[in-house]
Amino acid sequence: MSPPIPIASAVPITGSFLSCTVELFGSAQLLAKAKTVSLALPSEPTLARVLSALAEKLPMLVGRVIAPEKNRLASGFACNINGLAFVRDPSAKIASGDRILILSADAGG
Amino acid sequence: MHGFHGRLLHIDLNCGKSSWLRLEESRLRAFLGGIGLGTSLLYDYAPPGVEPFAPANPLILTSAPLVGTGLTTTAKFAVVTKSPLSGFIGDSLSSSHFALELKRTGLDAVVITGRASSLVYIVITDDAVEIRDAEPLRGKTPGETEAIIRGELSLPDIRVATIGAAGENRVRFATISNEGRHAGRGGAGAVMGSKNLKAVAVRGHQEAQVWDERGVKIIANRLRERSLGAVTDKYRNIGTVANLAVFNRLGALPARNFQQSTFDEGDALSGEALTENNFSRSHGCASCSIRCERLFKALSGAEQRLEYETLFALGPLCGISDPQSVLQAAHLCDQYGMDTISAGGTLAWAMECAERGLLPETRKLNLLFGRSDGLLTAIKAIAERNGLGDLLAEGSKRAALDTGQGSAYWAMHVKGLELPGYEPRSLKTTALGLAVSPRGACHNRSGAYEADFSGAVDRFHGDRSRGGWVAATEDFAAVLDSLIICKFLRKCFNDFYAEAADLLGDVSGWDCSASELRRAGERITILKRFFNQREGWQPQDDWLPPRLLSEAVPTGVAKGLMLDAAELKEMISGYYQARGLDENGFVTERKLRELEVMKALPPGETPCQAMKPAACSKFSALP
Repeated sequence: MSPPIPIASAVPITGSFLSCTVELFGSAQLLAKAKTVSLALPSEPTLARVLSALAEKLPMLVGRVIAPEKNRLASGFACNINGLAFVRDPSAKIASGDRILILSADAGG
Repeated sequence: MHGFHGRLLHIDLNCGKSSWLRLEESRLRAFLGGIGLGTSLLYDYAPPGVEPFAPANPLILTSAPLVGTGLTTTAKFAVVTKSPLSGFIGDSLSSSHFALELKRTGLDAVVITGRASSLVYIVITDDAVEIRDAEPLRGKTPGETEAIIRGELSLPDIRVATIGAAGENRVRFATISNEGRHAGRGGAGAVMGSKNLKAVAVRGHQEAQVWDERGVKIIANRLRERSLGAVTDKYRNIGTVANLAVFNRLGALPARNFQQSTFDEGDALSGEALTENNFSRSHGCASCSIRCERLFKALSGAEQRLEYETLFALGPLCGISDPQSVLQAAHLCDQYGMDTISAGGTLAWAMECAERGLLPETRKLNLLFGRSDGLLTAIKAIAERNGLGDLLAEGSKRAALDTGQGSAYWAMHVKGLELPGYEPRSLKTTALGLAVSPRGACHNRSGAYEADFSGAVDRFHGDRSRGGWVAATEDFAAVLDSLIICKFLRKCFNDFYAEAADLLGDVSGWDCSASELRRAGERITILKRFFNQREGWQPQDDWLPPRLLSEAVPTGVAKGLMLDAAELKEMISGYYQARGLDENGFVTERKLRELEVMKALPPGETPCQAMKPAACSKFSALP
């Protein structure tokens, strides 16, 4: 497994910003060849903004894991914040230090 | 009749006689096929109170209306019997070519009762039945047995469902295996062994007629296309082993006999790591476009199938972190024909006994958490019922009753069936689903976990509303398991009941509606409960192991969270209400009438007029 991709800004840093970490599971991890990705985002970002930044940084996820519009996940995937809450609404707010899990939407097996 | 043959074959191993009987259309329409049809036949054929290993306990194999239609994921068959683990209904599914061939024999069901005087196998070919000596097959693995029978009969295309040594030795969680797949849970293989029946081989040439081939083809093409889309990504690209890392992160991965809900050494066992380091190839059942099976490379050079439940049960649950040890343990279970979940659950119970100073033999075997040598030795001992293995072959519930000294506290089962790899304390809807499932702790007969993993509910808190979730998902599973459609296709439907009703209508010619299918799902689930009730079910059977209600979630993101008895009771009460049961969970006469359950069960099958008179003369009775 490749080491985590180092922290790098996915958007121009002007003014206040926050950092969050995306944890990739399953196909997302295998495609990206990374378990975690750190992102720096403008303050008060939404899940949609996180996905957009993630799409810029890991374009191989677009179409498979992230929908082509880049502001939501593809239908087979789900998002969980900090291992606690599943979030489906792209306008959901993300807080500084949040860990955003991208995983399969199907828990069966 | 379309989609079905309308025939049942009853084989009585006591006398070696068989008879073909007509299956009434009313029964087929009410219970569909697969698990539903099997449940209805179990209710009729099992004498009330029959002991699971008694000759009279029927072993029932059923086909289903969608089998053989070419629809993706439908090459499955069901095995239903009274479970030697639970004493209640034991229903399992297996898949692939055996399912297709069983249907080609012109049968919708095979009911086997009695006990042969020595080990035999049954050959069913179109309208003929033969019972043959299987003593030379004693102790053979499922794979060896399949190959030998094919050679002996000079029929390379015949398909075989067989038990391994575990079934012969009545290990209570023995499976029935075909083509590397297993009818796994509940111990149907032990019932087969109790009948001195090593294998059933099937070969036929009778395709069931389909009412509207064009209509079926259109739906089949649509579903095949969807089955290759994003909703099945996990199954197609990693397989179910992908669950391990996710469950670990979410504090939902039971480890060390549920003493932990995460596994710190789990990295090498993750589906992602296995895919990178050990992947050999993917494989699919017959008629399946998803191809979820993953075969991994063992050190021996052999390939080994691995699913999440096997990985969890022989890995974290037993404290094992080495992938090669898990692959080896899975291989042994496959070779002996044992359910890996119950094997892992029972071994984990024994490991905790060792930890607490009970069962001195566990230390001699190194049957300790994290010790793969002990794990592998014990699996063999169970299959052969050697020493401590004889106790463990009884499953965790009976082993704990026999051992005493408080060990029932850490026997992690519901109704005698060991828990699957979902931590109930951090998945509260799942907790309810496991507690009330008619076959015991089961994640397949209800998809209750979907509510917890979707964010539709708060997985950390339970309430009465979960009852409706669980009832709905049980009925959904009952329809899938009866038509039969693999659950991995379930999200490929936009409106499942409407689309499935169209599909069944095109196959059978019936004017089916979504509401009729929903009602069939409810009827099947209610009959399962009613069967259990007849066999002695009591409200305390719908409950969880005491550990889960006494200890907080030990590790992970949900650390400290409790599932207390009052919370579970409230959820169960909500379930009984949603199900239309009485307040104690009993099926009422009113509910039976409302669903016309008894009306759908004909008083008895009549000899099938379609049977060729010569068929019986081909039958070889036992000496």
